[in-house]
Amino acid sequence: MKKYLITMGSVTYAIKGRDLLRKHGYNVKIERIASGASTGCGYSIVLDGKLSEAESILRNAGIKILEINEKL
Amino acid sequence: MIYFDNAATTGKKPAGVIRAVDSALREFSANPGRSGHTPSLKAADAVYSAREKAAEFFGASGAENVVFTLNCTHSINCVIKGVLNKGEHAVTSSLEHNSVVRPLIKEEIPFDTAYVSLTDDDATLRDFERKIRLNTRLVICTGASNVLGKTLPIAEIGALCKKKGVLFAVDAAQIAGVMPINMREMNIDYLCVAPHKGLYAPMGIGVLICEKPIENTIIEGGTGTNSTQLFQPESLPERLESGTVNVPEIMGLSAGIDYVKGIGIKKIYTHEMNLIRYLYKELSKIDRVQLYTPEPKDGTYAPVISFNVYGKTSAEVSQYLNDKGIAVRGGLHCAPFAHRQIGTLDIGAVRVSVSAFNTLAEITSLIKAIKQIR
Repeated sequence: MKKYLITMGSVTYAIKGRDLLRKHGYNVKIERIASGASTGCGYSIVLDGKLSEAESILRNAGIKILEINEKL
Repeated sequence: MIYFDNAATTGKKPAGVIRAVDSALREFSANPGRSGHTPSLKAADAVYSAREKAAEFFGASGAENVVFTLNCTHSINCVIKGVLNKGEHAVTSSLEHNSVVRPLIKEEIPFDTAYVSLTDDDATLRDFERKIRLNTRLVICTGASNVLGKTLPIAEIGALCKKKGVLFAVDAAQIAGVMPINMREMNIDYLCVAPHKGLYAPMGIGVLICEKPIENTIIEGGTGTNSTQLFQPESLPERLESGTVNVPEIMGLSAGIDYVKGIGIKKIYTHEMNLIRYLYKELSKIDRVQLYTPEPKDGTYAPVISFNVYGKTSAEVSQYLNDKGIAVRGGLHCAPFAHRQIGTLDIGAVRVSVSAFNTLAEITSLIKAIKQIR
């Protein structure tokens, strides 16, 4: 299964997003990224599959996503 | 020592708060929001949990709206300097603390003060309405006077501000943890909190909860993210939280909210008001004592009263009581507006403020000591 890095603007939003996805049954965790996001350092939610549904959950909750990348 | 200076800071902290600070220093001593290692993420989780708790406690719409500051004065400065621009007008009240008045003066913001009636909240509300102009951007007022305990009709002022399209900020230093606050129900856009008072947190931490944006920042710097951007991030809370946050005190604040919720605000308020009312009644029987408010009633007063003894300055009475083992606060309490209203700018007043830990026996000791003043 593909893994994705959903990058947020701050650790606050990363935790908010992680907790929200966990409430929806996702197995997620937070990782810091030193580069890759267009603006520099950031925090990403590491997600296993079901990207489009998870992305909708986050966007519907008003959580701004900076980038989504496949985790290599 | 009997401690009655809880309006300055609650003198006794709950065991849970002390344990939380101790635990933070032992087990959470990593910088949150800066690194990806486990201790940093653990600290970040603890900080986020405190944000969630504060948001829920004050009826805010999200944890991300909760900003940790240095103290309530810092929070108030963030609001006044963050939303008011040159040419915009503000309204405040006749009972304000210098934490509101001095930033307005410094920024050369034109402002009017609405007169707070000690007996008629409708009259207070009408004066707020009269003072709002076409170019008024912000109404900022205290939730309760730190000198007189008189509360302001916050929900009604909030509704008025919403109707007029004016931003509304509340200095909740004397009411947070003592009286219920729901930002969304009361239409409060910015809530400034002194957690070391009614929430029993350590000194050195403040809270600012923003339901609306803050345009201008007063401190800029590292926020742990978006590091290639050379301008301050737009999103809260990081926009207002440059530099490392105070994890031990944030965790102490979190435990303080648990303490207040555990007992219940209503129970704490009833206990404190019963003590204050008993003190008021007994002081009103002493000829040499002057009181400045009507008997405090539930819902319209916070558990704070001030008095003077004829022939003595407030400093003399406070020192006398200190020598008897009782801590109260004399002087002007950084609130010259309130003292001007009651005519005590020259002598100040002796303030008594209680917490959940005070007892009727302690109040009785205070009354006995005051009766012995010669």
